[in-house]
Amino acid sequence: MFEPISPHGKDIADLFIFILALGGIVFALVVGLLTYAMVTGRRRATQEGLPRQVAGNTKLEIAWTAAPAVLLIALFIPTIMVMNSSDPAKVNKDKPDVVIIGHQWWWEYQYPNGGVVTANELHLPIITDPKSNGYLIHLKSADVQHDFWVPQLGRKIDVYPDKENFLYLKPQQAGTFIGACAEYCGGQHAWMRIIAIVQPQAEFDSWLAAQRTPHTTSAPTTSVGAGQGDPKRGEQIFLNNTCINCHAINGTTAQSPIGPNLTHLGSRATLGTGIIENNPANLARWILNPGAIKPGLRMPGYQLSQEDLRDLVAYLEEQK
Amino acid sequence: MSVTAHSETKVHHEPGAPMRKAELGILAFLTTEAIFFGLLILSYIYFLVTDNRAPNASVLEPSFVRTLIFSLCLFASSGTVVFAERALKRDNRRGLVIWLIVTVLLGATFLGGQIWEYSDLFAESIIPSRNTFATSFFTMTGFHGLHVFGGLVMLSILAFLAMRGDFRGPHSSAVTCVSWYWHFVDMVWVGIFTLVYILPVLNIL
Amino acid sequence: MSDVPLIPEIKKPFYRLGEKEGLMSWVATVDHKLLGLMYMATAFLFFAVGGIEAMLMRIQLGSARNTFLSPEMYNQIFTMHGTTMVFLVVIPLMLGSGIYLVPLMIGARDMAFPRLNALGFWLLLFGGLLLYYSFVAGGAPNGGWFAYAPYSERAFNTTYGIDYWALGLFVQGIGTTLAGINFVVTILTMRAPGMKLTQVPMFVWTTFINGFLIIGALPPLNAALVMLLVDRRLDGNFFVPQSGGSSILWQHYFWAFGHPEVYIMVLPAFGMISEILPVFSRKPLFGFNAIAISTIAIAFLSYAVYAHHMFSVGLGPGFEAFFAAATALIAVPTGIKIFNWIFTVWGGKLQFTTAMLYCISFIFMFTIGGISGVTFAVVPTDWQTTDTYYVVAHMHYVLFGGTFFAVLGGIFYWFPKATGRMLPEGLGKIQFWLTFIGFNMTFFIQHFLGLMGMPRRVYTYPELTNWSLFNLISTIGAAILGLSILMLIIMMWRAIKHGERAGDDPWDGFTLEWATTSPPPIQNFDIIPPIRSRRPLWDWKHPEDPDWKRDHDGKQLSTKRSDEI
Repeated sequence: MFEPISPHGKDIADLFIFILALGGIVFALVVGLLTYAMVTGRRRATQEGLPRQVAGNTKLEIAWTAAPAVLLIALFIPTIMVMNSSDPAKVNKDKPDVVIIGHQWWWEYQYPNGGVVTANELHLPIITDPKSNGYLIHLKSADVQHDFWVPQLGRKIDVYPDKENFLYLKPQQAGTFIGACAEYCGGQHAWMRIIAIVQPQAEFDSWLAAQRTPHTTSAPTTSVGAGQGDPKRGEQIFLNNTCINCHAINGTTAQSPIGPNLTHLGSRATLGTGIIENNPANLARWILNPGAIKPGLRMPGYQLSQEDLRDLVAYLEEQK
Repeated sequence: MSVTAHSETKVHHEPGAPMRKAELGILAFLTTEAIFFGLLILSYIYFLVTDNRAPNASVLEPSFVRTLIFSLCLFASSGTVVFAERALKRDNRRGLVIWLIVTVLLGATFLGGQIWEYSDLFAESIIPSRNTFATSFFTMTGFHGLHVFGGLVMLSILAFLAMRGDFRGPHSSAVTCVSWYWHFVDMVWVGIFTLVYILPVLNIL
Repeated sequence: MSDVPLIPEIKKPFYRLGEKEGLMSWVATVDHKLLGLMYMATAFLFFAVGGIEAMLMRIQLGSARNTFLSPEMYNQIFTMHGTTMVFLVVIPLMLGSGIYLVPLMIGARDMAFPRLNALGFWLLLFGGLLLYYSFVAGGAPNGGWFAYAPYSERAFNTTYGIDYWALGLFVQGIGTTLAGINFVVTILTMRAPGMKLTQVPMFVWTTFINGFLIIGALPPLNAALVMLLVDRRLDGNFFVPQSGGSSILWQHYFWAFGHPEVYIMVLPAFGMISEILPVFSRKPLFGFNAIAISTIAIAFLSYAVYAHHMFSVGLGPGFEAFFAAATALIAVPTGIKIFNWIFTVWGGKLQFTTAMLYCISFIFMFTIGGISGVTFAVVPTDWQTTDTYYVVAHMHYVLFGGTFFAVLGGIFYWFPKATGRMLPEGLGKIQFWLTFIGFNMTFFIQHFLGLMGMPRRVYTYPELTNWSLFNLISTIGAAILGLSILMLIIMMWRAIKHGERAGDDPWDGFTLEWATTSPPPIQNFDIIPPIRSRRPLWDWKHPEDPDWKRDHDGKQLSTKRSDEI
C-alpha cells in the first residue's frame, strides 16, 4: 500500500503517513510525560512524607479536551478531501469497463466493451489521461460477501450479492500487482487471491483481442509422440465429461457460467485463484483431485486414464 | 477518628419512594425489551420499503374487524390490570383476584385470536418462509405473542397467590412490576397494530 | 487508628466440594462474592480454551502454505477463538469483577437482586457450554464471530454450528443483560449511608455506565440472533438476498451491538486502572469528574459510531462522513482519560508493584491501540486497513494490551482481598515482563503484515517477501505469551493454598473494600467508616488531611504532610 501505482492509492498512502506522523507526536508526548512521571515518582518514593494530594486541575482538563479536538478537525478535513479524490463519485454506472463477479472462491472478470469473459487475472491498461477517473469497475457477488482489494491500486470495497458497488481503478505503472479477497467468505477465503496485470494500452488491446477469439483446436502439429497430448481428443474428453456442467469455453458447446471460464486458460499464470502455478503437470494434478490442492472447493476429481488426462491438459493449455 | 457502626448497610426507602429496586429493575428490563421489539419492527418497515411484494400486509385486510376486536380485548386488559392495582391499594383482595382473572381472560382471548389469524394465514400457505413480509410479520407478532403468553403466566401466578392470601395493600412490587410489563406488551401491540393493520387499511402505507 | 484489625485465620474464599453443603453450596449460592469468583473462574477456563485455539492458529500461520490445520478446522477455530474471547472471557471478566467488587466498594451487603445474579451466571455458563457443544454436534460454527450473512445462512452453511453459535450467544446475552440491569439498580439503590452517587469509586462508576451500555447494546444482538435463527430454522428470508432479504441489515444490527460491545469490554478496565494507579501513586485520582463525564460521553458516542465497521460496504460519502466524524470524536474523551491517568501518576510516590506495572503498561499499550484506531476513523485509510492484520493488531492492542492488562493488574491488586493471600511479587514481575514481551512480539508486527497486504481470517498465505518471517516472529511471541499465562495460572493456584498472608489492607487502599477482612465475611461489613469523600479509607487513616476538606480541583491544599505510612 506504500508503493501505490494509482493516484487514488497515492492519496490514501499520503494521508496514512500524515496520520501516522500526528499519532507519533501524540504517542511521543504520552511516553515522555509518563516516563518523566515514573522516573521522578520513583525517586520521590524514597523520600519522607506523602505527596501533595492534588485531585485535579480545570485548566489542564480544558487544555487536553480542546487540543485533541483541534487535532481531529485537522484530520477530518483531509479525510473528506481524500474520500473524494481517492473514490470519485461514479458517473455512467450502466456502462462499466469491467464487471467483477466474486464467487466462492474465484473471480470472474467481464469486459462488456470487448465481449470477453475471463477469470482470476484482471488485465488493466495504463491510464494516463488526467481528466479520466480511470476504469469504472462494477462489482457484484454470485453467492456470499467478498471484498475486492489490491492495495497498490487503492481502496478495498465489499462485493455483495444484493448491492451493486462501483469503483474506479486508474493504474499508471505496468506490472503484476497482487491483492486478495478481504472479506471472510468461507473455507477457501485464503485462496481467493487477485492478480492484476497492468499493461500499456496497446498491449492491453491486443490481449483483449486475443481473448475474444474463440477456442480453435488444432490438430497435433506432428505425429502424436510420447508425452505429447492430442488436443482434438482432449476437446472430446472435455465435452463428453461433466466439465461442461460448470465451465465454458468459447467456440464450443460448453457455455455454463458456474465455474471459471476456461477459454485461453493457457494464458493464465496460476490455477485455483493463485494457489499453484499454471503448468501441464499441475493442471493434471488439479483435474485428478482438486480437493487435495484446495480443500472444500466444489469441483470434483476426475478419474481419467493417463492418456485421456494428457490429451485434456493439452487441449486446455493449448490456447494462450 | 470516629467509627460509625451500621448493622444494616442497605438504604431504606419508605414505600412509595422513587428509588425502589424492583421497579427500577423492571424499568431497565422493559428498556431492553423495547429496543428488541423496536428492531424487529424496524426490520418489518425495512422490508416494507425495499421488498413489498405480495403477499404483503394486504392479506390481513379482510379480517381487519376481527383483529380489531381481539386487539380491543388486549387494550381493555391494560385497564383491568389498573383496576386490580386499585383494588390492592384499598386492600380489597377479592377485587384484586377478580380483576386479575378478568385480565388473564382478556389476554387469553387476544392470544386465541392470534392463533386463529395464524391458522387462516397458514391455510393460504403464508408461512414464515414465504417472503420477507411473512418472515418479519411472523417474527414480530410471534415474539409479541410469546410475551403475551409470558404475561398471562405471571398474571395467573399473581392471581393464584392473591387467592392464597398473599399481597397486603396498599402496595406490592410484584403486582406493580407485572402490571408495568403488561402495559408494555400492550403498547408494543399498539405500535404493531397501527403499523401492520390500521395504516394499510387507511391506505396510508 | 490506622491499624485495621487482622483476623487470625484466613477464611476460605470459596468452599471446596464436600465441605459445608458440598456441591449445593456452589450451585445454590446467591452470594455476590462466590458468584463473582465463579464468573472469574469460568472466564479463566474459557480463556485457557481460547488461548489454545489462538496457539493452534499461530502454529498454522507460522509458515506459508502450512498444513497443520485443514482450512475448515482453521475457520472453526478462529470463529471460536473470537467468540470465546469476546463473550466468554472478556465479558465474564468485566461482569465478574464488578459483581465481586461493586457491593464491597459501595458498602453493600450484596447485589440488588442476588437470585437474578445467580441466574445471570448460570445462563452465561450454559450459553458457553451450548456453544462448545457444537464441536461434538457435527462441527463448530465457522462464520467468524460476526457471522456475516449470507455466509452464515443455511444455503452456505449446512451444519448446526451457526445454530449453536446463535443459541449459545442468545442465552449468554440474556445473562449479560440481567447482570447489566443488576449493576444499574445496585449502584442506584444500595450505596452505604452518606455515599453520594458522585462519590462512588471510579470502578463503580464505569461499571454503572457499563450497565447502561449493556442495556442498550445487547438487545440488538439478541434481535439479530433471533432473526438469524428464524432464517436458519424456519427458512426465513431476513438476510437471504436471493429471496429479497438484506445481508447488510445483519451488519447494521450486529454492529449496533458490536461497537458498544467494544466499550462494554473496556469501560470497567478503565475503572480498574483508575483504582490502582492512585493507590500506588499515593495520590487521589486526577480529574475524577473529567473521567466520569468522559465515560458518559464514550457511552453515548459508542452508539453513534458503529458503522465505522462498515466503511468498506460502500454506503455513500454522506453516511461515511457522519460516522467518521463521530468516531474521531470518541478520541477526545479517551484522550482525556489517558492524560488524567498520567497526571495521577505525576508527582506521586510510586510503588512499582506488579499491579502498577500492568497499569502503567496499559496506558502505553492502549495509546498505541488508540492511535492505530484513528486510521479506522479516517475513511480512506480504513478502506486500506480494514479486514487486514492491521485490524487484528489494533484490536488486540485494545483488548489484550488494554482490557486484559488492566484485568491482570486487577488480579494482582484484588487477589489478596478475595483469597486472603498475596500473589508472589517477585515471580509476578517476571510474569509481567514475559507477558509484555510476548504480547508486543505477537501483535506489533501484525501491523506491518496488514499494511503489506495480508487479509484477516486466512488459513494460509502464499510465499511473499517477509510474510513467513513476520508471521513466525508473531508465532514465537504467542508462545511466550502462552507461557506467561500458564505461569500466572500456576501462580494463582499455588497462592490460594500457600501464598503469604495478606491481611485486610495490604496496599494501604483508599476504598471501602479494604475496610473489611480478607476474604470478606458473608455479610461483607461489620463496620463501615463514615463516608464523606471519594476516599473514605484515606479520610479515616489521615484525619489531619481528609479529602473532604479540599475542593475538587485539589485547591486549598493542606501543605502539612502527615507521617509516612
